[in-house]
Amino acid sequence: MSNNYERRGISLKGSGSYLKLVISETLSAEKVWHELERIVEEAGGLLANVGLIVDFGERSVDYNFLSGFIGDFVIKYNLKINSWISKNEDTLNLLGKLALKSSQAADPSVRMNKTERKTLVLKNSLRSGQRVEHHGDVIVIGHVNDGAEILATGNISVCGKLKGLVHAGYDTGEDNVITCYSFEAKQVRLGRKLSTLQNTKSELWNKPVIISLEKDSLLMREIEI
Amino acid sequence: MEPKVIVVTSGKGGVGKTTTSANISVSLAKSGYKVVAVDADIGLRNLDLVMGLENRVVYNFIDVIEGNCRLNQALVRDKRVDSLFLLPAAQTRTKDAVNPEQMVDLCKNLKKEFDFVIMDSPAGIEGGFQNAAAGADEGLVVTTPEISAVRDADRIIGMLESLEIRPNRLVINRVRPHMVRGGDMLEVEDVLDVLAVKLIGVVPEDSSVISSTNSGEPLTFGNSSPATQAFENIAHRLTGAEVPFLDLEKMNDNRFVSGLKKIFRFSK
Repeated sequence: MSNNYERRGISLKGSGSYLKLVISETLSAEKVWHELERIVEEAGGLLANVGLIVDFGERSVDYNFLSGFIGDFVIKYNLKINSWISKNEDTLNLLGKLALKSSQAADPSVRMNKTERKTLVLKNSLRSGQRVEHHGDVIVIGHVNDGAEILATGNISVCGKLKGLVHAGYDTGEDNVITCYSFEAKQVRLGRKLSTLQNTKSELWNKPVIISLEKDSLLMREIEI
Repeated sequence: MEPKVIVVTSGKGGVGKTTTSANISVSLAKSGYKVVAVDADIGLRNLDLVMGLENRVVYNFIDVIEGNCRLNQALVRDKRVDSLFLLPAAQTRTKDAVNPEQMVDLCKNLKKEFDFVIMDSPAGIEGGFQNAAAGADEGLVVTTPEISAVRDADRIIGMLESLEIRPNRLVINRVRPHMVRGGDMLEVEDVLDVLAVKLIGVVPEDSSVISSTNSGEPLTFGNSSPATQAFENIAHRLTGAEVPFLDLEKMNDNRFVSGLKKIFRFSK
């Protein structure tokens, strides 16, 4: 998901076990320190509890910058760095000399511990263009608007209107369900099955529904409590 | 009142961003506020034409950013309203000629001089929009009652929120009451239901918008059409005034009755 830090040249991405800290190459060193302080302040204890992947991108990092980063940021705030990413040859050489583990493919969603399933609770609506990928269950306390997407390895529950695309159980799938308060989506995906709904006059349109896989077919029925 | 930078945006093209920018700028200036309308659509400038100031453009804001001229040299004063200015875009450059940091600095400088900075954003969500929104305090999202425009507006509201721009208020433009009544057009409530932002104005479809654009005279300079009133109301709401919303149905009926009166007058 996009976040508020991107505007400042530093972004914090991912959820669950890993967070990726992306530092723009265009940001001056002075601004980097300033923004890091701000991120620590705004993220509170979140940073201390997860492994960080630091992505310098194309930035050419010298020894002074790196030692400042480690001393004034990593040590000072007691952070755990899982790996370092860089596309810059000089930076990679420096990381290699210092025996700091570097990686090119440290995408948080890929590296997430597959055995660990957490529930992600989103306390706002997802707007068009917003996309959430999560290993585990996702609960949305709001709407999923047309053009928004959720991919989850577990179940997906939407407390509001479901108009966007949801894909539950996207890597394993069989036992997962999708629920929503008001079904208004043109397509749903569960495991390896996909269902499209052409007719908005369906009896289930605008109704609270549960979608599950039964006998290898997608079954949608109204939730009656 | 604190000076404000308001970005007028939509995502989708052709919904009326430039018309809205021009009309609310004129209306705010007529109310006594010092206003600058900034055309942030680099390479495809139009605001100068819609405001009828194209002949007087000498410099543009890229010249200001690149240090080719001072800010007050690039500002075009509108002779019809003393407190209204235009800061034109460059027509021969592209969106890459400026970056968000430079736009933030430009907005800071403009806020020292003006009460309202109305930033007319280009369509789309790429660099041009990012630049236009970079220095904004508030967003004015323009949409029409069509599902494609509403989806794009939803996308743009999400992006404005992620840039920490709040509040974002909605202008629903080109509403045709008879189509809404016939169930062929989305109702205002339908649009609000999807977008979940505060409504600041509903502008009816009005043919006088086309003639005013072609003549370079925004409606709010003195036209008395329904769209004029709607734009003026939006401008007043931007200043914090509580203005009741227009009853488009009633206006439509009144126009029908006045049309009938004209016919009968001619037939006498």
